Amino acid sequence: MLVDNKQHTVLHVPADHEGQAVETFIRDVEAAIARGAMDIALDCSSLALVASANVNVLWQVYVRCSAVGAKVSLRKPPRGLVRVLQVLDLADLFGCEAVDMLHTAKIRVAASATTSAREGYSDEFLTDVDSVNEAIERFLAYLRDLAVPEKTSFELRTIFYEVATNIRVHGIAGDKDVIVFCARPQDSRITMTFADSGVPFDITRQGTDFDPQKAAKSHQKRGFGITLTKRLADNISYSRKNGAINVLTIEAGTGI
Amino acid sequence: MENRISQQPLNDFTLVITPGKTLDNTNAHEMVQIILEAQTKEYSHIIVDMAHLEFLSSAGVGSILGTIDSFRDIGGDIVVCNVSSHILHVFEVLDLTGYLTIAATETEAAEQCQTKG
Repeated sequence: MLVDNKQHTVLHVPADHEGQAVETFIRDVEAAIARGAMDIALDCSSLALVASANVNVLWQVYVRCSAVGAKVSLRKPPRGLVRVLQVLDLADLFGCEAVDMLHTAKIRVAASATTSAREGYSDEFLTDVDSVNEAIERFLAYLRDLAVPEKTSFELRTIFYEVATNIRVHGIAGDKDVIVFCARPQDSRITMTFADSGVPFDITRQGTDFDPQKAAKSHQKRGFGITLTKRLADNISYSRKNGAINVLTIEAGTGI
Repeated sequence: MENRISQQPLNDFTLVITPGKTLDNTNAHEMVQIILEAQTKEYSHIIVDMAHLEFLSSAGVGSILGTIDSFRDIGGDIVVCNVSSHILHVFEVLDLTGYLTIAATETEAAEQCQTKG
């Protein structure tokens, strides 16, 4: 608990979305309500990545607060959380601060993309087709700022598309989860990182063996995306963070 | 340009299919459907004119590769033409340049279909 002056309470939302940390957090909320807190702010600064379970935790807080007429709001919510809450029509329940934060974050991302392309680029987007396509357009604009040659830009676009589509189609139950993306250029290389909270999927364990004749004979129409991605990339690594987040890191040349 | 897949018969045995700007996960199934329907209409050859195509995903590749043998089995083929250097690069990365029939222009593709027909 950060601040508690009886009426106004600030509670820190744990990064973990299950287990002891959540139980303690919910108990703190209940204790604050029992003390008569009517204005509870939830500090979300630890939620670097957002899972549906995080939203469930926030919902539990909202239910408890609304039962006694207490107001609940979010502080420092990450963009991914705000967008998920907006998609679920829950953003208003947690105060307009969330929407303001989204606006601020968009300006920050836009500024970083236009003023210092060399320092890197980051983005967060939902997994539906339109959001992925919009994210690709933003990434292509960033690559133009970086002066990446057209052919390399096409290769990086292909990698981005195949990875994001793989996450959307195979990794996540629906279109409403979030992919966090960042790109860091260094010398003539670029490192792209994709993080999502879908089911574990390690593409580094998938082979790149591909026989066109065999694929054609068996009328295979899908399943070439991983081969294409691995052949276009120089290095790929995968890890599963905190048992909940897939982190896929892909390194490729920029042609600069 | 609108991202629509259009089709136009060239002759009794050849159908020209022209994808829009992208051929990917969102419309690869439509491409497959058009190709397979063409076969039921007794077209033995398909020309896929990629003049407008700016992006081809693995699913787009699959829509051609997964249907091509249905035509080759009956002495026909799927011929791709007007392939940009970027799209050709995708074929190269997947080792498909030796497997697919690739023509420079639609006229050349039509000639290939005549030869094989």
